Amino acid sequence: MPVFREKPDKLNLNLSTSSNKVRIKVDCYFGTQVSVSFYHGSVVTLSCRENKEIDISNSLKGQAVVFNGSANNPDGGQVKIVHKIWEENGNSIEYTISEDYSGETPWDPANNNPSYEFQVNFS
Amino acid sequence: MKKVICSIFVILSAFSLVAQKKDKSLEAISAPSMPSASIIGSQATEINKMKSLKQIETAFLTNFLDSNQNLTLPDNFSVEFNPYLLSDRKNFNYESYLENDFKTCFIRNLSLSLTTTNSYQINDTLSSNAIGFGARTILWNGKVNESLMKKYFKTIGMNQTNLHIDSKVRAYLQAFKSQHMGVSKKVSELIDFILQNLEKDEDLNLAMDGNMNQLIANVKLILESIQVTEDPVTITDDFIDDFGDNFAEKFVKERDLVLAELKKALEDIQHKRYGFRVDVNYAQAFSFPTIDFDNQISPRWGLWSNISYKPNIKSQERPSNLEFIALARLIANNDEFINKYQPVDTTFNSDLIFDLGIKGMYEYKKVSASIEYIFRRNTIDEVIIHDGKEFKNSINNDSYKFMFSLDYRFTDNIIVSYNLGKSFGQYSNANGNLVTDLSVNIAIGDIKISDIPK
Repeated sequence: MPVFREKPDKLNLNLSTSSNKVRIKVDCYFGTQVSVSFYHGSVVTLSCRENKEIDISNSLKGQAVVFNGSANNPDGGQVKIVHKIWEENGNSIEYTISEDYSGETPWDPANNNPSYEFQVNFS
Repeated sequence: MKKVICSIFVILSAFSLVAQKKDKSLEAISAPSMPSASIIGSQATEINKMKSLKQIETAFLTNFLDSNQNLTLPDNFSVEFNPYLLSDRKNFNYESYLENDFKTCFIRNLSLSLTTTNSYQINDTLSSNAIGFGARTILWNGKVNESLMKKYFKTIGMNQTNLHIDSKVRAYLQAFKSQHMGVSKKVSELIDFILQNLEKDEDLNLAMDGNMNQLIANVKLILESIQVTEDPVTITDDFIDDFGDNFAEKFVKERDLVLAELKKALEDIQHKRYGFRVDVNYAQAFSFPTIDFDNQISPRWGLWSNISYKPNIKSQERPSNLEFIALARLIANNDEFINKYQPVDTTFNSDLIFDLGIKGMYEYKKVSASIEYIFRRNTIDEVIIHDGKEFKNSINNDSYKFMFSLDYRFTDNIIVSYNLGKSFGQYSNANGNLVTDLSVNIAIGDIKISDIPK
């Protein structure tokens, strides 16, 4: 089963030129478990409920970061993860698996252990 | 009256009211035992076995279509769902399934049920439609053996570790691409880069308690098994994406195995409990004698509690196959409803019905057998008016119910149940009160189609 890869130009976040922190938060629903990892200088990993810094806005501006997710639901229910990326005191975006997914490979609800990937373009 | 019911129960189990098809096997099911079915007499057994933690159980007793193939309210239809498991459970921690305090038990195990029937017996010659609404929950849920708990915690950890491995490997692939984009590199350099970083990874070292060798060896095996068209290879977006896809596809087998182990451990800690368990149930029936929604009446309601005890076999660290359940129940019949169907010169005033019962159950592999006995305390005052004079007669309607039940689980999705016994027989009639009941319970919905036998 391939990785469910979102269209690379779908998610964009407009950042300021300040030193505001840009963060990501991951929330899981209906018993979903997840691991989300991204590389930006070093590999950072988040689980459900965690909230970590990506970088400061003027360093991130003009770059793209790829987020790699792996999820399942031991209770057998639907997989739902909400990723919120935001600049403190600034803009934010949310990306929800699987509702917002629109990649080339159709999302397969029968897949018990989906791996997914999405890119955020910081402008 | 020899009452023979041959019925088919189809149990639908899903994890959300939003349609979500999952290709997985369903956990083992038990025969339906909803309060709403019990209050309108749609099941033979009276004492309800403690309910497993499911979100929706739907029992179909007959077809949904009428003779004209139009959808109709089925004659004998039951559905039960658990609002907690249907809620969003934001950032749910699976370790909390072991919490056993009163409030957690009450909320987590609360189930609401609805049952309909067109065969609600009013007296020996009359029946009507009825809808039963029920609610039940567990106040105290017994204990779990320590070995099961340890296994459960371990598989929760293993599952999370596998999720980390998958996401981190693909993130390290991005890191390698970022550092060597457009450069020709040996695949072995890429693999070494990933493994060296995994070895130093804090999350993984914490999860593995420093024992990283086996983890690294497994991941190395998978990475080295990925076929590449050329080596050395020029690092491009497409190459990294393909390599990541291949890794995810090969590693998912390990993830599936651990997920299956976790689901089994989860099922065990939910079902394999010992000691005392207490549940409470409430149900109320409504009838629509004129098939007019505005003209409804409630013929009865009931409130009851089951206390069960299952010994623990310490030497084998598992609960016993034997379980004892005690029942205490109050039922109130609506005299207004009953008297509508009596001669005009006769009225009945019924006291509260009080039931006390006991049940012994034995489960062994695919078979479970139970015997239950319930004594009913019931007094009815009959008032007949004749020639303007009132004649009162107090009728002792005490009775008992005895039921033997046998369940056989053909597969995890199909149970056949047979019940034989004596009903309460509160109606005087020549038909007797022998009950025989055969039902086939089929679980559908959240399982593979190939799991359902043709």
